[in-house]
Amino acid sequence: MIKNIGLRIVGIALIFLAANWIYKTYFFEDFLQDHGTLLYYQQNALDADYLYYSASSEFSYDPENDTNQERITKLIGNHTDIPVKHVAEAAHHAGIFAPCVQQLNEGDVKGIVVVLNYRSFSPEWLESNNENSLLQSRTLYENRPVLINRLFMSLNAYEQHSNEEREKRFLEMFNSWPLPLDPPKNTIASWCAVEKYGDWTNPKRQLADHFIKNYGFVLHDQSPRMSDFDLIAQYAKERKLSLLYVLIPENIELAKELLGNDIIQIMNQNRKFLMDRYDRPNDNQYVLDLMDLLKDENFIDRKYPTEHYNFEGRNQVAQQVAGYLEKIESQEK
Amino acid sequence: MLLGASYFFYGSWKVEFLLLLLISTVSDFFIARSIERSQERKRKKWLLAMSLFINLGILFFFKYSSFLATEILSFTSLTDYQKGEVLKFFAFDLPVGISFYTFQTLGYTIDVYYGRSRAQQNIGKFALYVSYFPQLVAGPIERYGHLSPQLFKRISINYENLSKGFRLVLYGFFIKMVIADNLAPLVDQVFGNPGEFDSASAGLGVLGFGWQIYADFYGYSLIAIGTAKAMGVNLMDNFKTPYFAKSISEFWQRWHISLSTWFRDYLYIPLGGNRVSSGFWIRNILAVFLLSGLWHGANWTFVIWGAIHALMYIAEKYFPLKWKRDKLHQKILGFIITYLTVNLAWAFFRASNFDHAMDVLSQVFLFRTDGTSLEITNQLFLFLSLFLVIEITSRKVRIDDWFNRFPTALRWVWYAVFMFCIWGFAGTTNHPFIYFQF
Repeated sequence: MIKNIGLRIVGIALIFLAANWIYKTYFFEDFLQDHGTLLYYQQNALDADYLYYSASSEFSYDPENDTNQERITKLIGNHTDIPVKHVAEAAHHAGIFAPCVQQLNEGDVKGIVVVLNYRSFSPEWLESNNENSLLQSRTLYENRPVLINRLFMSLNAYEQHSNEEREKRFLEMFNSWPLPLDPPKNTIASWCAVEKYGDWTNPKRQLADHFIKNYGFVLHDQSPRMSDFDLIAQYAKERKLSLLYVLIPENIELAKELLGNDIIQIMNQNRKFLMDRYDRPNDNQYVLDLMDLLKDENFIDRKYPTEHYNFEGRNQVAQQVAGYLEKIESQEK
Repeated sequence: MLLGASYFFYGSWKVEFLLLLLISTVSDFFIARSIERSQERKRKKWLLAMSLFINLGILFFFKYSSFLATEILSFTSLTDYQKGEVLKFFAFDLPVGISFYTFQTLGYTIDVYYGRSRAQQNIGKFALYVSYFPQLVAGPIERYGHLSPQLFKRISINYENLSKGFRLVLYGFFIKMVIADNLAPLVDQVFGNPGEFDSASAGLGVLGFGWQIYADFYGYSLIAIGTAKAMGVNLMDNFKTPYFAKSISEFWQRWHISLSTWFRDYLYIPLGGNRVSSGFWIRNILAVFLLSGLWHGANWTFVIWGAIHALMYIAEKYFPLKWKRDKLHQKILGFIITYLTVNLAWAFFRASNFDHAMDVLSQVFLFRTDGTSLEITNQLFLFLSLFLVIEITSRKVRIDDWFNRFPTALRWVWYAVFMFCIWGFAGTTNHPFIYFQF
């Protein structure tokens, strides 16, 4: 019996190897186009020198009003000859970028640009309703045989939480994450409860609360998402890739107008933390701090803090990134 | 060890619902023993009634109390908010598999009552019969006389059983993950927004659900049967190519066999079966099908689904042709009528309420050519064709005998095809087994 079973296991292993090869060669790319776009973009962008990993801040989010709808990676081309291509998809974050970066081989590209999205550390983004589908797509990016990844995706073998569970989790964070301010501004929840612009139905009050929830947190070594950025840095180093983290613009002007210097103080503390942690030129790892680059008028969304910029805003970011890439290139030469 | 594994399996979902399983087990164990010991017919009846009360009471509480409360509240003048507050008291999870193990343990007590089985004297053995994990959560609903002798003998693992068992598990996964789970998003689209689609697509959505639920439940049953087979335990068949049935009565000999025979043995025959007047026979048929519908869920749509089957069943008996199917054209006509009836009735089974089902069905019969067309990929078409070929060629044999027809090398080609499809082409949306909700 043992011999029979052993032979069958070997048979199944051989079938798996052949199936994995056939699937990877003939089917996987089509599947990625629909279910794993980030890796699909990456695989089709390896002729560039730099890959630009981003969420929706990279592209136009207002097709009706944007005078020019070119994406940041395209606009970078207006400011430098260094070829840069996007690996960008709405709502994606470092936790999804990291396994994609892991799939890169040394020499595939010279370096990577990764948006260091301040807001992606906030409770609402950490527990966003998009998270389940993002984590599902991440199963395809893991460093395993593609058929295993594909099977894991079908088996829903990834962390899943219902919208209610996620809401409960971020509400807990609102209540428990300490802020370096005097009560009642010492937690997100209690700060939101402070009457700022009338009752909850006042749109300005709602907007102010959104800014507290999205900008009001204190980063530290154990902050969620930090490990994802650490991993990206580690993978980049192992693959000898230049890594440029871009701390992309947030609507600091409006945040200050709504909430005063308290919120700015917290944001500056976090900026410093991120700079200290990730700006290591000796390791070919840099941080470009553009957090206060743009004015309120450059932000498209008016009811929620996002990183959706108008053309002028995207162009300014592109110009800064292009300039920094030139600087990195010249240093390497 | 099997008992421990079964309790672990069930408890890993929600440990508190193990208590319900234990209540059913302990109560029926002692009640059945008391029935057997009792000499008085009246006392036996009381004991049986107690078993029915306990088991159906638990089932009713968890499965139907919210439905009943909603119906009662609809006659009151409470506001929607107030109704919502009342209904919060009934908002609890349905214990997985409760309809299945309740019927299984009830069947045992009724068998002991009628003297068809001896009462089990060992509570551990009885607990294993109730909770045997391959079939605990969605059947097949086993009879005590069939399952228990196999469970209580010394189980020996041998190559032949392992091979036959895993083969069924593999095919079960194939039809669940590749057929049912790839059909599910298409069906969801049509039932999610029926008005958006042209009539052909709406029809495909309805027919698609027929194949989805079949592949889903048949797949589960094969996984359960195969898992048990690997341990040397033969569970009863649950499906025999039901969509090739040429009448509703034949369909029910082929679909969810363990449930339909349960209703036959424990409800239809005790009510008199067909050895009664026409009026009572119609009552018996209606009782079986309406309760069968209600067994699936607390919603009027399930009752309507059961009623459609009951009416067709009755119509078959009284139809002028008496549905003789000796000739080919009669067979074909019978097949078409049965297939369409069964599949149109599925619309009620799938829909969230009566209006929803009518929306979907009216969309089919509006014969609209405008609207979105459902996109069926070449891959899905290929998989469905493959499934259909296997269904056609295996319609007269059990699926494991069908596999045995092929020489080893060819059998392994089938295995390779199934494995490749499961690994590379299984559905990607999260669709738990449909029958887990019952």
